[in-house]
Amino acid sequence: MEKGKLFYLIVALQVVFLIGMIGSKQSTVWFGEKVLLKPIPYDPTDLFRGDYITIRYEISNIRLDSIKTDTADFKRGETIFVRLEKGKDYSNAAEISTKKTAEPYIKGVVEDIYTKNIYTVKEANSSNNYVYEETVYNDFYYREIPLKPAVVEYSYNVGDKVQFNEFNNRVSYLIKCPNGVCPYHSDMYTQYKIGNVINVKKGIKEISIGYPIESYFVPKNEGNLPQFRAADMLVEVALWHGDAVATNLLINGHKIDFR
Amino acid sequence: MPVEDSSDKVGKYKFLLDEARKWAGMGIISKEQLRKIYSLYKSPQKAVEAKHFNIVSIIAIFGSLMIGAGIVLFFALNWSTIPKLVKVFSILAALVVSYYVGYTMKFSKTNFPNVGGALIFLGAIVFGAGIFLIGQIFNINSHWPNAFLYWTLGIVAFAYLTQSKPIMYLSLLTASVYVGSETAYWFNFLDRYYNISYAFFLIFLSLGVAYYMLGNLHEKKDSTRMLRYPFHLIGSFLIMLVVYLFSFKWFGRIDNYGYSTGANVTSVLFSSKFWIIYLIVTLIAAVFTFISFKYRDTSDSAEFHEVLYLGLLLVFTPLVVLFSKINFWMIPITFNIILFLLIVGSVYLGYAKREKTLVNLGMIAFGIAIFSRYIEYLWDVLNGYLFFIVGGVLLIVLAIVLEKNRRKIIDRFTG
Repeated sequence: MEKGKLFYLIVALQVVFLIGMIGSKQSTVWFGEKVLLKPIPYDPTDLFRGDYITIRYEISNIRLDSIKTDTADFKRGETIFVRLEKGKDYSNAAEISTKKTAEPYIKGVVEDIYTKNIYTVKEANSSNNYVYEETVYNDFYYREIPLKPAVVEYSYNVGDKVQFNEFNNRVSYLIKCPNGVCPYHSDMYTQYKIGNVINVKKGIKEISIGYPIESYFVPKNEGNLPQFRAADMLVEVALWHGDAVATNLLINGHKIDFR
Repeated sequence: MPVEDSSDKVGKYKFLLDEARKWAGMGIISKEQLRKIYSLYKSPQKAVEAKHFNIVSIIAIFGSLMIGAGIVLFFALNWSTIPKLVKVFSILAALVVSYYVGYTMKFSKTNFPNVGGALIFLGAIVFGAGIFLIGQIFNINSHWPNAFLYWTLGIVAFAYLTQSKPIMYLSLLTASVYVGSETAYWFNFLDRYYNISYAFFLIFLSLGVAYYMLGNLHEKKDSTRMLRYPFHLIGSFLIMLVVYLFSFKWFGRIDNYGYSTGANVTSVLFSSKFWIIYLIVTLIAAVFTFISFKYRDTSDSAEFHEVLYLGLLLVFTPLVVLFSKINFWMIPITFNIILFLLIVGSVYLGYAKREKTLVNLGMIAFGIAIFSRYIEYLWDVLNGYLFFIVGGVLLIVLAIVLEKNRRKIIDRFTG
């Protein structure tokens, strides 16, 4: 082929490729099903790398005791498919599988596998229950010998008196009160609550999943606005055959327009 | 049948004139005879143009880089206010215009071939920028190392079509970044903690050998001979870099958890998708080495040694690393010896092939290697001020010795 023709053919291929990149994502937006996902509470000041906000969702960390799976043995780096089910305001994970499931489902990658102890704590003089998740880090990270099932120790027993603080109904810090005496006093910076452990579930497996919808482009300096700290933010996601595209951020049901 | 335009005429005789220069360097013809041959095939104007070739080319490339930077800055500052469609259109327009104007200047009208070449190079950069920008505009979060793969595949054809060394350098760079980022991506999923330094750099050693052997293969054909330089330079740089890094004693140390990093390599190599990448790159390198060996110039003993020893290095290095569990000093000692051999080889090869780049590379590597060992082993031994004084004296002596020998060697083959 003549040099000129070949040259412009390659140029055309480059243009087609760039348009194709757009097409592959836009087809998910145009043909896909729209679902709403709940981002989990986060500290906004940590999010920003340049103009992107990093979003983790409620479906990013899934406990394997409460969901249908086709295997108990997930590996880091493995591709998995999470089937979603519509809840009251947003969709939740209904099933995790290593094979494609019924629609709507989202494709993700297993990032980490944790073992956790789950404690339910009842606040003293109140009917409030809080959940405390204690991650047991397996120390296989630091040894070369083949991994043995980690001995799961647990720190708290049913009936233990504990002092704790919570954020959004999850316990963020917990400590035993030895002999019934609790070590900390609440002050204007930190509010401690006192309660008792009423339930212990040990050795619960949880997987952390990475999705392609975890960064959302926001114009410079607009990512730190007060609306991002609201707990009522939802993310609209288009799903098509497992591919996902984050299309909008919603605060209290209204789409945020950055221009 | 390629269209013959005026630039081809220079190309047709360029090989002859390069060879004539070599003959003069070897003393086969005299300098006067060389000048006469030159005047036969090059007009005085072209001779002047040839002298300024590199300067115009360099200025033109910087010019395109500045234009590119300016455009990028304009878009960066006003990005949020520009509608998506306009952004996409601007990227595509910049791409097509650079290529069109570049091609016209270099091949159609041939009025400003160097500027044209620089514009085509700019187009190659815009393509890569376009991939990342479109990814950002449309929140495309797919496997990011692939961006570098697509960038490489998109521009490498241009390097051959337009005989452009800058585009070939760019392609090799983006290809190397792809291999590195793909490897780094899979390291995130190792199911235990490892010191990954060895495993990571072993891949770059294989990549360096692959590039170098590809360079040899490019040398065999007239149409690709000029493009061998990027392969040889980047290939030998990568090989030297890895061997240099492995020559440091801390690369062989026992890590904090009581296991030599050599032991870790075995586990890293087999416990993740990393080993697939390593295997593929090493196999490619082995295939190119074999082909290079098979089609070598049998009268050229330099080429025989070059291919054989680099091939051995490809196999030997991972074995040394894997067996370093036995004694961690195996690694620094072995690789210092290999580094020394590589330096000697580079200088010898540069001399035998009349390639200044290899001689210079060898000399620079020698200086860096000596100084690195000095810092590594004498930092703790000498007191602060003494270390700097002795070090400074060493550097000056090195510089003088190296420069004298380098000039002596280069003079011997250029006459």
